[in-house]
Amino acid sequence: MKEIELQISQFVDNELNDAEQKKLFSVLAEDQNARQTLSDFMHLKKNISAHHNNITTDLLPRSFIPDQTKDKHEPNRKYKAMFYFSLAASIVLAMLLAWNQKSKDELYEQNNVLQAKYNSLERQYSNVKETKTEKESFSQQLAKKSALTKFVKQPSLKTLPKLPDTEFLSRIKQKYETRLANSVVITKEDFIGGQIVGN
Amino acid sequence: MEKVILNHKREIIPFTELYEKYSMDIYRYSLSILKDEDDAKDAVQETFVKYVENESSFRGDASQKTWLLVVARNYCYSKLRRAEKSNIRIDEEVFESSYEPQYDSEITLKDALICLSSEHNELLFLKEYDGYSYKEIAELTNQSIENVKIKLFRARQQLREILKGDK
Repeated sequence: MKEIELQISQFVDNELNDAEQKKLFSVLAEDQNARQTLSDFMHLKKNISAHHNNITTDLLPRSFIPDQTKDKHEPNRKYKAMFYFSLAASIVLAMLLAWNQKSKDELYEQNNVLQAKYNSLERQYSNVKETKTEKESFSQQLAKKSALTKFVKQPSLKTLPKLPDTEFLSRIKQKYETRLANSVVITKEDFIGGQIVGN
Repeated sequence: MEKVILNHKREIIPFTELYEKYSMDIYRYSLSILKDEDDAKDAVQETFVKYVENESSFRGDASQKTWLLVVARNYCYSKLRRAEKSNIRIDEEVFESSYEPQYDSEITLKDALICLSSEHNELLFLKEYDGYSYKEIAELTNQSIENVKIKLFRARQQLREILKGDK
């Protein structure tokens, strides 16, 4: 039955070829239900078409047609204002950022100078500290030495030997000269013949 | 200055003429899918706005009416999807208040059509009112001819049962 009804539906829609139509007609001639279905479908077709034709309404076109006088690409004023506002804000922000960057650089420079100063002062301090410790150690050594010298005996003038006086020396000198005058001089010739000639 | 449109024969036609010619058909088609008069009106507006905006993309290989129907169909089904996703309850309330079937009296065809699914309604509209062939409907609705054939048959069967009071 379903197959026949499907064919009837196609027939109503005028989608059956001649052979199919003939076959259907032969079935319709014998089948009362099929005829009833055809009648119903034809009735529906007519009524549906009439139903849609009877639908009427006021379809006044709204202003959806684009205005030809208005530039299509002209941006909305609101968005335009928002765009300029955001542009100004971004410029201000960029300036603030740049200024902030500059002050940062200055601070870095100041920091570097102070760091250099601190380093040089630290070096000076360490030098001074070194010399001070050296001096202290030297003075300590000196103190130790001076403490040691207290225990060593210092030579006194009384203990030194007396030098001979000048009179004594002149007498010795005179004695020596007289002895030298009285002495005999022996030469090589005196030894000729293996014996001393003379006295 | 009035907007002008090129039809599929590349002839210049005024926009108002195009609107007058097809707006009611688009409305009826949208109504068959959306089942709501206001939504159908919105669909008509949206369809023509889209048409004006995408006039350059209209290739002219399909008729203007088919192009408009495709645009309307896309709009209607996207609206239905949105409605399903967002709030089904509201949709049901609107449906009930607008199209409550009159059970006291005999069920009219209008009520019976509302009981059908949007897809069946759409197919019946395209076949019975617009007289499109199975092939054309298949192309428009992006499905096979066999599907169209069977769905149309089921829609008729269902409609008949509703009218008889079986469902």
